[in-house]
Amino acid sequence: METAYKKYKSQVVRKRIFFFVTAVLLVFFAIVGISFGAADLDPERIFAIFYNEGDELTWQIIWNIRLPRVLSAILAGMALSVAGAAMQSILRNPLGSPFTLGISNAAAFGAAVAVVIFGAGTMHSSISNAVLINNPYLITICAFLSSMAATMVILIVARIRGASPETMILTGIMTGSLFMAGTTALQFFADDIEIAAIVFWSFGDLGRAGWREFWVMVAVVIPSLIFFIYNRWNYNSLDAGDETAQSLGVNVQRVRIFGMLVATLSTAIAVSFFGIIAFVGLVVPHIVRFVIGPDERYLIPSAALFGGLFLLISDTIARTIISPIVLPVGILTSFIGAPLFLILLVRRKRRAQW
Amino acid sequence: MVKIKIENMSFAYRKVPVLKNLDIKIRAGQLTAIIGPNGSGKSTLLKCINGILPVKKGEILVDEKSTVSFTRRHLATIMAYVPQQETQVFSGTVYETILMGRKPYIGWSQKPEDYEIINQVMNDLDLNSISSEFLNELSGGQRQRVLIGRALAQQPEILLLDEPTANLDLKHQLEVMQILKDLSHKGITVILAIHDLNMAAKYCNELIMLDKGKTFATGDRSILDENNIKSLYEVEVKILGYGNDNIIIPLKAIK
Repeated sequence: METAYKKYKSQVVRKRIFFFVTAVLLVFFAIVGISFGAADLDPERIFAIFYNEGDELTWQIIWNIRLPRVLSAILAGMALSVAGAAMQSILRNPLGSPFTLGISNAAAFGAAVAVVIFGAGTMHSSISNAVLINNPYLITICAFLSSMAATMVILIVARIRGASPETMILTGIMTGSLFMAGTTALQFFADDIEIAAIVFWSFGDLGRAGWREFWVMVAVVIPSLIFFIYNRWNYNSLDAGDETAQSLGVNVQRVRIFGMLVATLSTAIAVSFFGIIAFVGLVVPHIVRFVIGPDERYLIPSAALFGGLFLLISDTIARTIISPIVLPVGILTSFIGAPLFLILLVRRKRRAQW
Repeated sequence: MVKIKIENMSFAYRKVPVLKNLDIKIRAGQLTAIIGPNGSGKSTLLKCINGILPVKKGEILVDEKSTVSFTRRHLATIMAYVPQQETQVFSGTVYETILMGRKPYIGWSQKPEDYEIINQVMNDLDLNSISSEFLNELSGGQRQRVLIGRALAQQPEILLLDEPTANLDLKHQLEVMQILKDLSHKGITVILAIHDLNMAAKYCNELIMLDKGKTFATGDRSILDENNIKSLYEVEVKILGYGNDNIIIPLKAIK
């Protein structure tokens, strides 16, 4: 009689191990991320700071450049992958992510408006950056407003037509292409510097992270994480279909609409600050699901940590691979994520059990 | 004792009326079959009883209380629903699926008694050997047992099932029907929509015949006579006695 329970518990233990291993790796790679960069700091110099024996330069590099960047990478990775995990369940679609719903297109449009109409981008010459965005706040605000406008369109349609996954996905794709057309139209009328600024913005780049960005992200991402964890049973029920979820006592429409609102909000924050970081929201949840299964109670927290880890490692590689040139992390996430995903997809077919 | 009372209830999908002024009483602890041709409103009736579809006209009373007065969550502790087809996107294990049936009871975290109930359900439905298999890798018969198990984990007083024997082979049809019969003996009010009239005649002690959203006849299996079936299904049938059972043999469709 107890064997089924024991088997279940041993599976739970495996899921917990995955969570803790990811947590340990996250701490480890955070230290690695702080150590590596254009100026190499060995861990000794970093630890010296904790004992008040460090030098001023090390302190400056860590405090002003590396630490906000590392922490922002973790937080943005968390935001994107948890939003993706929730969306896949809310929309009952493995391709679900805030990007599928056109949030990135909308954000890019907002950035383009800021650059072309409000003149937020200028030419600047330096070794690493050919283009400098001289008014990042304006771009961030425009990108954010624009992505929330896209979300509102989807929510309004969902309100009128009923929040079915099909309605929401199709509306999202339509709004996305509308915003993309808007961006293209703006680019057509923009000059070469402005186009360069728009394109440059759209590369997801964590180099834009400072403390202020970090704290804004904390204020949005942490509550949304708590929100998703609070809803974990609701999302589990949604995985079984709307009718089953309703018969289990879930208010499907409400869970879907609020889940989508929170998911797009935290994604929009990350995208508005850092540009488009592809792939994390879509693929990290799948990778975690391959390893620990679809139970949202474990999937959501693990996807959060794994997403943070994934983006942190990608960014550390992006900063160091052809140092001193810093690659935008958005390029790296796909280069690392796609092969990893394919390997897991192929291997999964051969193993029925995890 | 009447468990569910449906009073003057109508339902329409947008403007298309599906159920029209139904008045039905369903007794507690019985195995009740809802039968009728395709489109007669069987599934819709089940979904209305469960509150999956909102009833705008008329009332559904459980133990004399209107279901509208219950919260969704409270309703989920009184009735459980097994859908006809479950489209799983991300499929968990059998154990996780049954654990999900505890959803209406679980606050922040599950309690020891939740696991006791799951163990009970797993034993009753003989699911222990497949507890860590994935739901989407099971055969139809096993999957149906698991979904019934999830519904039972809700500890419902009323169990609603939409075509529980569809897509099952003969042995598993009998197995599922026997499980439902046993549950009704334990005092659970079991209501199922079913196409197979022989299964309905063999296992169910109450029948509700629906015709285009209206009650055509209600009563015990004796309402399954040649005339009723003929005018409801537009099919000529022959009914033969075999032991205690009646066997319905379809002859031909009436043009």
